[in-house]
Amino acid sequence: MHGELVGYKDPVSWSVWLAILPVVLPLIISAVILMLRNRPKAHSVLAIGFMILTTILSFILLVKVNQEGPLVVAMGSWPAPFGIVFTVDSFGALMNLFAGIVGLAIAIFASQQTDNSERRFGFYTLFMLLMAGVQGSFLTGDLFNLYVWFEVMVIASFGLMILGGRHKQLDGGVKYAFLNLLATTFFLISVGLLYGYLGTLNMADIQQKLAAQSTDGPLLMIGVLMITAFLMKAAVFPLSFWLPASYHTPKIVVSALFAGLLTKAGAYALIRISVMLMPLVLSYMQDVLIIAGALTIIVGGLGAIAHTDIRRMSNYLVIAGIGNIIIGLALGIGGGLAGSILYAVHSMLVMTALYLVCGLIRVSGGSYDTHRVTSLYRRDPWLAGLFLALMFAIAGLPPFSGLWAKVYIVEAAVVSDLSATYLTVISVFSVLLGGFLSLLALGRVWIHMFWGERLPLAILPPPTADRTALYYQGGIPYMTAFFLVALSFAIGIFPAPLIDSAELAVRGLINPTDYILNTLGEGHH
Amino acid sequence: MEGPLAVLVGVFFIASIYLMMSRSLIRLLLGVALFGNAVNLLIFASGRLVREVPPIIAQGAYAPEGITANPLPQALILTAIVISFSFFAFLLVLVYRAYQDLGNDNNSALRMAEPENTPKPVVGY
Repeated sequence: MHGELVGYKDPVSWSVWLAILPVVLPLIISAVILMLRNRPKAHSVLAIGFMILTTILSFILLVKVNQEGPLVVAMGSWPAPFGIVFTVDSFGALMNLFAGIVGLAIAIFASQQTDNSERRFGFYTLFMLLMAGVQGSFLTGDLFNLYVWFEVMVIASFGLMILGGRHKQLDGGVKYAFLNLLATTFFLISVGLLYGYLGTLNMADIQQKLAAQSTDGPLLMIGVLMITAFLMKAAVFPLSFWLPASYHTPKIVVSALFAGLLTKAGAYALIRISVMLMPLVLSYMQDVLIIAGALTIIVGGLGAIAHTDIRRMSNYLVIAGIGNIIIGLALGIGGGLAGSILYAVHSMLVMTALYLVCGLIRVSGGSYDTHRVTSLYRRDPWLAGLFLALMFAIAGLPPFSGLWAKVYIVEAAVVSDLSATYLTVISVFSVLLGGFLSLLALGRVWIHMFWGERLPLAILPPPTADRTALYYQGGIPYMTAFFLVALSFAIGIFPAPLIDSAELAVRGLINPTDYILNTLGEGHH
Repeated sequence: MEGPLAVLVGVFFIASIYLMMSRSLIRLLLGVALFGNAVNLLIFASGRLVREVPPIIAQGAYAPEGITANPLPQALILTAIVISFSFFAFLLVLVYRAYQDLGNDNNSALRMAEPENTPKPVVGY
């Protein structure tokens, strides 16, 4: 550090607000909703309105960042690396946009599915806090700040998980809470050790200091610990057991929110840390990550086949999807990483839609169990069509978004030089087998619930009239799920903008010159 | 000075991980509380320990003279304490509620979310 330490004296421009509003808006609105405890009808209107605004702002932010490079906000104008900064690059902005879209869909769906007492107990407050946590972790440029956003996200998700307080939720909540707390604490340990090693917490500064190092020293231990913490957050086998123990227990709209955002936030942090900050550790862990990813896909796929409750089946499909992201990440800087980011975006959309459709099946058919529902096609052809489209999307078949992600990952596995041939075989085989297994699991649901005549167990009474009324108001829940599937379809047909954006994100991660320059200023590079 | 503290952190981790491997939820809770404190001490030690010299910059200077105490780990620990304390409070209430409602604090007996006798999937069509 030479010369005078000068803060940013210039008045902050409007673009600075753009980078921070996706976090500030949900925080403010969660507080407002908390104050409007006695006006539950207003909660959903406020949440939907602000989610629309957040999504539009996130879109403008993505376009701006893709054109002009990373956008930096120094909190209180404390210059980096001393103060906390938000550094928004293409990768963060892309994930942020799709988090906004998923959040909007959830806000709309929840407006039909939550009753007044749930709203008074804070459904929308916790939901908005969770959005702030998720978007904050996508936008921040400071490692300790990332930890804080993860904790915001996790504590809000604890509240949502046990909202309602049924026995299953308490049981699932205990396991979810303990294991997630453990994962974030492991992350904190590695942050503390990294601070002790480098003396900085700013990501751009960490990147520079690590890149300048000639030896790996204690970095390997710190890096492996940090990556393991995020593997646990992302639910990668064998650190995935908290997910199938808990994700099916809360309200279906909460499950959809978790499936869309939480594991993907873990995957985001994993990619950000391992590719941008610690490529050395990533290359050391390549074999482990490929094998863990393959096992995640296979265990997820087999678990999905083993269950008759479609929510529990969906839990395993979420895990299987994460496996593809991990394999793409491990294949690294070829097309693999772009495939990994594409898959993360795809997974956000379709996994949310999957749980929402499960909720619609429950309303239309009366149960989540494949043994208890049959011939739904006759009763509800729209739902049948929606489910069929979703089945194709999740299995990664054309014309949906999963196809392109898988094309990229498989191509990267074939062309990249891995240390052993069997790694290529494992990568390609597991990604393709994963698609097949999810198709098998969902196809069986299709045959039993939508086609079949066979009913091994007693038929449940049809859904009560009032519950039906709660769901069916104007078909909005259907439209929400349809919107997500249609987006996946649109990406499948016109993949170019998303692929360009993902490749831009990959370039920014592998060579973060602009990220560092914009964060630390001219003097440091 | 970091040496003895590192040993202490290690002892904390050993004790907390031992407690967390227990089936009893109360022991798990105690383990989590210890675990949080171990991490706080770890961050404290990783900021380097020196004699008690406050990091005050003399008038007209840009940097403090000589070695001073590092204030950043204290800020980090303060954040981490608040977070781990609130988590502990939440978990305490959650475990108590689970004990009241489910009548059990044995982790492996909690099978409401994943019951053991679920119907098998249909094999034929």
